Amino acid sequence: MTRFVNRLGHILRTPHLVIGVSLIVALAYLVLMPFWEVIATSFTAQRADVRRIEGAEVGSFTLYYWERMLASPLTQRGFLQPLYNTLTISFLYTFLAMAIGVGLAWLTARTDMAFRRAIPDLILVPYVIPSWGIALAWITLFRSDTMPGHPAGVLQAFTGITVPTWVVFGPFPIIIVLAINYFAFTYLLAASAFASLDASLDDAARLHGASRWRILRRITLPITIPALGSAFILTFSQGLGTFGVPAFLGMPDRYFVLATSLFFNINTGRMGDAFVLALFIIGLASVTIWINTLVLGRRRQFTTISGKDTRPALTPLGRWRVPIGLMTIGFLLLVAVVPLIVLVMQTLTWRVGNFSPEHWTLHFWIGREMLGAQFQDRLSGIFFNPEIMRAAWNSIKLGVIVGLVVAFVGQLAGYVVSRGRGGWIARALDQLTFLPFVIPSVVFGAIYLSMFAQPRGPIPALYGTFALLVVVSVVKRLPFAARSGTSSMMQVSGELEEAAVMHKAGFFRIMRRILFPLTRNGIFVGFIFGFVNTVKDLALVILLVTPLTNVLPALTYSYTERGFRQYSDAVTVLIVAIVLIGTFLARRISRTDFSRGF
Amino acid sequence: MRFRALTVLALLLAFAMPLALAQTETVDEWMQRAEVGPYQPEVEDWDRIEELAREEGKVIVYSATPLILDAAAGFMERYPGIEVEAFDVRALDMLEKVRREYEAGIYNADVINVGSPEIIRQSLEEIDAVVNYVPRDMMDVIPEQFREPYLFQRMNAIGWAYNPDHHEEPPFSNWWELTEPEWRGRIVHDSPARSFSTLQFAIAVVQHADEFAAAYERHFGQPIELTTPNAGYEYLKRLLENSVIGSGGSTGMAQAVTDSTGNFTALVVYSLYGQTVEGGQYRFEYNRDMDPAMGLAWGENQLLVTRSAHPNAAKLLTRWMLDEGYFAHFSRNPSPRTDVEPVPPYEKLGEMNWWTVDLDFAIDEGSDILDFWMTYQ
Repeated sequence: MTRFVNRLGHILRTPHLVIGVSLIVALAYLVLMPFWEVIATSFTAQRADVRRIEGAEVGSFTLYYWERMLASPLTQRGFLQPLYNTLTISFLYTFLAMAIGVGLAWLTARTDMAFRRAIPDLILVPYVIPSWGIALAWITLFRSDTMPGHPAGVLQAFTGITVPTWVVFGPFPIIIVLAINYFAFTYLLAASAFASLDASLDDAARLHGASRWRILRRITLPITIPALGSAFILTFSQGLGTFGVPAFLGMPDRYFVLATSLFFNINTGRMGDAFVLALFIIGLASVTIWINTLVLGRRRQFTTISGKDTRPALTPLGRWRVPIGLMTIGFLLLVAVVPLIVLVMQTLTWRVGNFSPEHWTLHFWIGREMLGAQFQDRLSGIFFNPEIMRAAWNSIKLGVIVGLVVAFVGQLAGYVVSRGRGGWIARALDQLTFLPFVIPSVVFGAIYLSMFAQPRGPIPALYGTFALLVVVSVVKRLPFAARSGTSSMMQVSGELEEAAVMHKAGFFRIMRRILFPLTRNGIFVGFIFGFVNTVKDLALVILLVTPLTNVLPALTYSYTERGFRQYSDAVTVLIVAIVLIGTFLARRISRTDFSRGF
Repeated sequence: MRFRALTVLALLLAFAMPLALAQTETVDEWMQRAEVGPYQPEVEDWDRIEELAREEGKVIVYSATPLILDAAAGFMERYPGIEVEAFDVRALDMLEKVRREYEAGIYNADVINVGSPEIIRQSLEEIDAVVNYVPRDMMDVIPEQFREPYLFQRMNAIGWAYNPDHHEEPPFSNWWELTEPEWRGRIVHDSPARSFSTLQFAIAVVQHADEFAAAYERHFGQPIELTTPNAGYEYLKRLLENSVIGSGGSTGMAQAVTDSTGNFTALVVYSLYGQTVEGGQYRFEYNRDMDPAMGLAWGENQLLVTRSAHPNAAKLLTRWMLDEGYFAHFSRNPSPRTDVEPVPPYEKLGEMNWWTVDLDFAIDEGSDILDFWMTYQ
């Protein structure tokens, strides 16, 4: 007993342990409880289904939903097909994103390609466009009036060329668009792998007369393969729950993935079915992450090989140096700029599909008149539409708040993990902050929907409040922020704190005067990532917003669903503008080097 | 010492929570105060309601049509000082969100304006979240079937449409024609998983299975052989083998027929028919002699949300949307009122051959029909 009290006293007197324990308690409630909630719901008779389940009352135990999903006429279309589609898409887009990302990383890190110093900045440009925004642009670019139910797209309007339907809807465009969205992610992971490569090994091999090909095959690849494998798995895991792109590009082709099936189940009141699917998505993601830790575990053996760091000898590209550089820059601009141009063009058309300049209009941007009485789909321009402006304000507010909270919580978590290295509190916190990475956004939204729908003990129902959006976004963004926080806190030596303690500085003073100033860069990177990803995230909030708390991405989704294409595109462009302006301001204020935060 | 203060505070909080919840008004008390449901007076004093509405100063309406945004502006012009916050939300989304808000104890919406009576019945009325409100002075001009169990603010319908620029005569006259090979890939409709009207359509087809069996025989000259429970399901199954899921909701369907250059049809809502006049946005026409029916008609309901903050403003808005507001902003849909003539090109729904969906049937079968659709789509 006294030992326990002593230990408790020790914990209470040690700031990083107090913070650690509080964070663990909070995260257990926000991450672990919801998980239990999903499992429980999938076995509980829901109000809407009671009449269909023999002998059930609301809340009684049932295997009904599991049976429906796994052994009923619905299984094929409702579960197996979406599962198969999810895996197919995730594999193929990951291969494509890896090919592009690793290729770019190799070109920038290991060759003398022209303009290669511009790549790390440029590569982040496509990243500011939400993936579903690229999907919308894809549709607008390639659709044609030969497809039943669709007007002409940009390509057809200007060149007369029409493409087959499978190019516009279904798995093919989903894979391409996801690859475009994720190659920056694979690039960053691969680039760090190439950068950490010890150049002296290269030099040694070269001195012994090894050919370039042999060096690549025998040294570069074996050393980087675990890191690349890990990049592959992390990218793959992100595809399992991806929602926006398959929602826009898959639905018209009746092509469902697990995440879109889950969404439509919830939309039609089938919580039980939805949560069975949610568990499968989480299960798949967990397995891939588990494989990842196995792969990374192997990598550690390689990283012990180390020596004096020298500048790596760059592979000369010879006369291809400039053309390849230009092609690379061209490609990055293409994937970043073309979607935006296409989206803007559609916002200028008075009638969807009619791109001739004499019909151009600025109505959808600045039109004050509501023409709803004549045309159902002509509201006032987005800048004069109260619904859109409210959502824009909500989005900005959400982005800024989440960015700030996640940056500071990330630093605190990083502080605990770095100072308590080896202790169970640090380890538990490290694991808990990573867990949301495994749970796909749309699943997270679904879980929070059920978790905070009703008051529970002292915690009020948060559904319908802005606070719920903040909480879910902070938790979802925490994995990155906590890692960034850990790495920046690791760089601050504990001696500084000890010196401050000697001078009788309190904990908060140490934080304010020493730790936060020194880790400023990390905080700002955490903020920017929190902000950017929150402003453009559709899947996480689509189930949680209400008319009063609506945000821009959810509004785009509903405009697209209703065929108000100019509005959905204008709102998408607005989101990109907010992200760019926000990032620019944050960088200006902090003078943070964005690309160096990884 | 500090620890004890904290404990006391925590305990207080824990006890105060349920107390605070217990203090909220019951639905019955709210109805009493709002004078609706069983407490609606025989004669309503509209001057007083308007006065109370002005005191409330605001009304929040969720509607499944963007027309509500126009209407909100119109109402604020007519009743300055009463702010309308109007939200245009898709039907299925709205009903789901209203129920969740309500269960979370958040009573945002004062009024909802939406179809889908079976979902209203099962998910909202069951938890007393809504109350049917018909202004007393409208009772005489709205037939009972259009105000019970839920008031119709306006009517709508949906049926197969074609482009009259490319067909002098309707290209189809029997629903079963659309299941034949020549129509493969030339039929567009939405999915009932995201479109309320398409779900109603599917329910109507199954409900009228006998008529489908008879129409089959008239078309093919022999009785139907079933691979599914009845001729309605059989129709849906064969239709889904031929059709494409369109995008862009109801305007997307109308646009699809308008832009089509060939033999092509889509399920299009009647409320867009007003746009087919000279200079309008769309070109489509229905076959009025379609066998076994033109399609399906339904009402867009208007209901008050209980426990909401602005019941009098909600009443005022409801009455206005049946009257002045209807004429100014909703006359593209037929009115449930017997004393209101449709504006051309609209005709009286009752004089055309539309089905209606039986509420009890929809409640009993809706879920199975949706499952069926999902299995075959």
